[in-house]
Amino acid sequence: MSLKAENLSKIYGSGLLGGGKCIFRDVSFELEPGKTFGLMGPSGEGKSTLGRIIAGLESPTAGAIHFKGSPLSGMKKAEYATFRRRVQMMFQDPTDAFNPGKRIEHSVSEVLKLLDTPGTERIRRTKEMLKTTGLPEEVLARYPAQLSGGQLQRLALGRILLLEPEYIVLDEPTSALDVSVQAQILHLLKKVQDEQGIGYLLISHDEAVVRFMSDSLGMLENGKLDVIEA
Amino acid sequence: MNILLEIKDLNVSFQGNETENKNENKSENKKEIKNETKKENETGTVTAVSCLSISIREKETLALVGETGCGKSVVAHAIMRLLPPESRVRGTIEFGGKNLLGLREKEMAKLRGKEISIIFQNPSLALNPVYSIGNQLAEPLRIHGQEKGKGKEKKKTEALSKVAGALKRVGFSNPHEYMGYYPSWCSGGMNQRFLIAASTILDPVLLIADEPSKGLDRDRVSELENEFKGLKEKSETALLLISHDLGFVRRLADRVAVMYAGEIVEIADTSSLFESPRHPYTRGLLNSLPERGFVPIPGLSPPLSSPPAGCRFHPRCNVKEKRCMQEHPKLKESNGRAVRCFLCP
Repeated sequence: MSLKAENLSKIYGSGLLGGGKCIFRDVSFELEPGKTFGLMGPSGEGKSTLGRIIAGLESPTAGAIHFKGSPLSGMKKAEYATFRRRVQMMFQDPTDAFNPGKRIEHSVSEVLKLLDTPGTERIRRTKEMLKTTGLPEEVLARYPAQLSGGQLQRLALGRILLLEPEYIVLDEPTSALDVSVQAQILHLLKKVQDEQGIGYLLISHDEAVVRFMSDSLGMLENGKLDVIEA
Repeated sequence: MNILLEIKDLNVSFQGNETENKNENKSENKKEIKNETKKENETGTVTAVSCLSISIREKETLALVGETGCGKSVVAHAIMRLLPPESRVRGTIEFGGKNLLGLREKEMAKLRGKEISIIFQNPSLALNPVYSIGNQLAEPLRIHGQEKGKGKEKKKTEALSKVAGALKRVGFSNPHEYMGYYPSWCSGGMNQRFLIAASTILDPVLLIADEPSKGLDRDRVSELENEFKGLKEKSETALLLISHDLGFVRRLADRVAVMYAGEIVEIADTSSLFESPRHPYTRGLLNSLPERGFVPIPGLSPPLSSPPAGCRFHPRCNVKEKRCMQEHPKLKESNGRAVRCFLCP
């Protein structure tokens, strides 16, 4: 049932002329349901690139991702669609995650429309999502610019939860937030994980955040991943 | 130390949508000021900063902390007079014997960058991607006519030497190489240092740093901290540090002002504030720190368009009393610190 990265390498600019810049090489780790793997490392070492590869948003130069035992490269279209739905990514800056010209209700219901959820069910699930993330219903009528960073990050998580993910790649989920809101989001992530058994890949340069959240953790530095605590 | 900048009763509000603005303008002349707050709230006007009074002394580092959206950056933009035209700013901001809010734009432009400078959030957006670093660093010199009355070549040589000096001051040992760089060639940390160099090239007496450590990793934050410490040692500049990174603030600031929902709730010297915080919000903020176990403050901060009656923090306060829900507390000063809470001595 796990999501496994096997000998992943990423080299930028490796075209016909060869050469290119190696970001990381032979990176392997495993995400398990209900557990958090923390990924630390300095800026520019490829943490976010690795996260995007795990979420299927980018391809590795070499290596494979196995979702529930099947390699991504051999998946049929329907299987791959399921993988993309079950493995989601939450980004650093929640303001970039919402259309600034649309009300929150539109951005949330868009996800449910894509899943062909009927109207009444859409309302029920949206209300349920707001309850889970601790937000009042009034936020639905607002535009992103009218909400705080913390409220938007809760909504970003809530919108992901509507897709019933099994794994979420959390790319610096609290680094744009202040300490009090950071604490709220971390506790919310833990609560959601306990209730729904979601596995997290938590990417952060903040060691305290990673240690607070993770069951195991690794350091990506100089192109290599060292699992420093299991 | 003398007071360098004094803000008194600063109120900043932003109007809602167009229809709402029209309604507001129509009724504005008819209503008394007392009724205005209620009317503003009904029409969607957001009061981002309410009755804010603080002062910054010469050479001092004053930090402004608080949750995202509490109005910290609005204060910085009000000082620089960079708020959008639809904003309504009331109160006074006194700097060098002048009220900045009363100055004409031409007069303000003479102060901006030279006397008061700002480092904006997000260095990659604050720098122009199509101009070289050297060109951008020389811009304040061009604008403020530092090279007047000299030959073209002499002006250029002097500007280059000043730019090189500014780059050296922020830790670039080979400044002439970096002058030819473009922002996209550099990391976030390097761009942040270029911005500091550009903002301090004219030795302003007041530097405003708006979330300078946001998004930087631990090593870059530590580098930035050293930049500011070095800057304070080498110059007479006072610093208004706006940040949500409390560790960074603790290591740099002389005094800290805590903001909540557009108001100052506590001001104290740094060690007193971190060792014995008085306002329940300040205590909650410090409990959210990693070393105290990430204990969150319950609930959400109120929308600035409709703050709660009484103390603005009362819906989230675990020690509130009946009075807190009915009356709005004033900022009380005693022994060099100020607290906005009925329950604090």
